[in-house]
Amino acid sequence: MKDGTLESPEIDSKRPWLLLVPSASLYVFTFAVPLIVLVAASFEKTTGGVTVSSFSTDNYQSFFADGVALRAVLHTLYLSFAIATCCLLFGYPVAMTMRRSGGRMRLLLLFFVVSPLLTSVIVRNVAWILVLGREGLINVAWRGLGLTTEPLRLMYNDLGVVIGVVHVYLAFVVLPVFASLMAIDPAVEESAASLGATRVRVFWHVTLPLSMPGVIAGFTLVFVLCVGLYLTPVVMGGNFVVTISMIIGDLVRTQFDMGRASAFAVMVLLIVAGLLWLSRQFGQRYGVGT
Amino acid sequence: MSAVNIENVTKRFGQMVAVADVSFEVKPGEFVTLLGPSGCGKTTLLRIIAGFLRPSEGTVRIGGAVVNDMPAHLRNVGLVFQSYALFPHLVVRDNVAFGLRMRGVRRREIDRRVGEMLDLVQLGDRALYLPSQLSGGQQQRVALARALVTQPTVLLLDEPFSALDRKIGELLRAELKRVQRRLSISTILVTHAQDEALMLSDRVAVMNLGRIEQVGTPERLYERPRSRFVAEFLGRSNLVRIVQSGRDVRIAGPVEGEGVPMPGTSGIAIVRPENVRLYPPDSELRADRYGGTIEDVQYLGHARIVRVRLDAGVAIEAIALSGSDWKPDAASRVTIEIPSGSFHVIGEPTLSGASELDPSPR
Ligand SMILES: Nc1ncnc2c1ncn2[C@@H]1O[C@H](COP(=O)(O)OP(=O)(O)OP(=O)(O)O)[C@@H](O)[C@H]1O
Ligand SMILES: [Mg+2]
Repeated sequence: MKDGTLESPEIDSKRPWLLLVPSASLYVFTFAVPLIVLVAASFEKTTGGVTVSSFSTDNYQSFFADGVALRAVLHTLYLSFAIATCCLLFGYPVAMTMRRSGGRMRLLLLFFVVSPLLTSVIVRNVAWILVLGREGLINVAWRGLGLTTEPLRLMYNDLGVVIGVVHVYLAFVVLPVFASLMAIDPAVEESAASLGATRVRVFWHVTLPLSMPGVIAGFTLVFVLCVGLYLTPVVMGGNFVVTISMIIGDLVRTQFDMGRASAFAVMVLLIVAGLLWLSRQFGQRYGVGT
Repeated sequence: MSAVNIENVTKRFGQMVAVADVSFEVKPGEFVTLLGPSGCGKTTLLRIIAGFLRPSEGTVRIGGAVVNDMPAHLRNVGLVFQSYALFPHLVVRDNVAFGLRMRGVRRREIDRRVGEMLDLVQLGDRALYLPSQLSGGQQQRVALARALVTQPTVLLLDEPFSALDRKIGELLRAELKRVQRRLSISTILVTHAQDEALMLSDRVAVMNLGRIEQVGTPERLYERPRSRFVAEFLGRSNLVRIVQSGRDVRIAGPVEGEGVPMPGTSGIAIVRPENVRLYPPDSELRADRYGGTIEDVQYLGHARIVRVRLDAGVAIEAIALSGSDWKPDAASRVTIEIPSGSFHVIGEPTLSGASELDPSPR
């Protein structure tokens, strides 16, 4: 026994990495290798399928020169921010309710929050079309009530995409926020109350700051996932919402320009890295990680 | 006007009665302890006073006003939890300032009062530390300062010493008593540690199964317990069946089982071990002396607890202070002496043994 740690004699402690071999090799082949190939491809300049130069920054220049890509990136970030914010605004109260309620109610809420994740994207989006579309549930009801003659535009725009995505990603905010809330000692909130804080002030000065780790984790997770949004904007946004992933997809499938597609993909990766760095800065202010 | 007045308070959780018809009061500046075993309803009662639970029945008054319907944040009570429940995201100074901020006290006034309070609990140099950077004892003092800075009508403490090791706990008890006297603040302490209760309180309320068994000064509770429960909860005690004739009291036998029929009125009494004197086995036998065999000796350092099996069948515990020449040995013979005045009668024996002792005052 060294430094007071317990060691089980049955376990071969000399080669603990042996257990990591399967997952590590999977990681190398599914992540590291493709990443290297991607970065290499992003510097390749091709004309008509022939490689002209194996090291050129043309692809990256076209990202900035071509207003289309930049605008798509900005719009993607705007959508991601809107979606993450909505998830937070809707998810936080759900997490609070889950914390307050007993076992049964908590399970039920958990089920509702997680169930969209268990449904296929296509099924979910088609269902939304039936609800939000021009001849969808809401519009039919709306017209039936004689409230309007003009159909409400609930999809084939940013709103439709936000609704469709918030529905799924809500879980990614609810779960970490719930975990953060559960870690708060109720006595801390009671102390605040007995020191004269109203319920609103207890929330504002104690509960919310102490749940910030969950808020930051949830917000970041949703934001980063949204940067890669592809399918839902295609279905729910029609041709009116363009994300950077759709541009990259188009480059690959209709223009066969692997070089530019790779360069744009690398840019997306860099943006995600930047977002994670920002989130870390925020997190450190609230004592998350080190 | 009393600081806190509890009248016939009952609290039910479904079928479970956690607090049963409890009444007591705390006078201004008084230190009252709720003492009782785990699950007897102490915390429940404290939470009712603090405003986190509603009594099912009864009235709670703080500073003379009925507060049954008043939310916790308006009650002006200071609260210290067992876990201290400090705000982990705020430094010591902001923890202590919290209550004053909520009351809208001016900035400079806050700084002054927080500074004074931190000096009082000797933490002036830790003002900018986070709770996680403090020791348990320091955290407890911050919790105390935070609860006191708003000058509450009553200070409520729920087992504030139980998370500390013994030595620090003792230091902080003395500290609490000093601060409490200095500010002469009405205080209710909840604990299951009898030494804590005896040491700190002006009065102690012993609780059992949701009821208050007896309220009184520590001396009174220790010397004149009203029931077997109180006697056994506070310190060590020997419970015996006695016969009384005139002023003479003699041990008649164990409480459980049949007593030896003897002339005189019989009853159940307790004897504190410190009132039992030990003599060599060949001592002169008198009416208040009994022969017996030492069964067991527990060494405590400053003293030994000696359990003697009397020839009459009763086991009696006695205390032998260390430092005398004589050292009791297990299995050796001994004579003990219990003066008649050392018996405190607490009830009549019943056929079913001592379980149905009459708890009424005498
Ligand atoms: N919210 C609640 N719901 C149901 N029963 C409860 C609740 N709170 C307390 N009880 C029950 O009431 C009884 C008294 O609990 P309480 O916490 O007041 O005990 P206590 O004297 O403080 O004990 P301890 O010394 O262990 O803290 C216990 O049997 C407990 O199970
Ligand atoms: Mg308790």
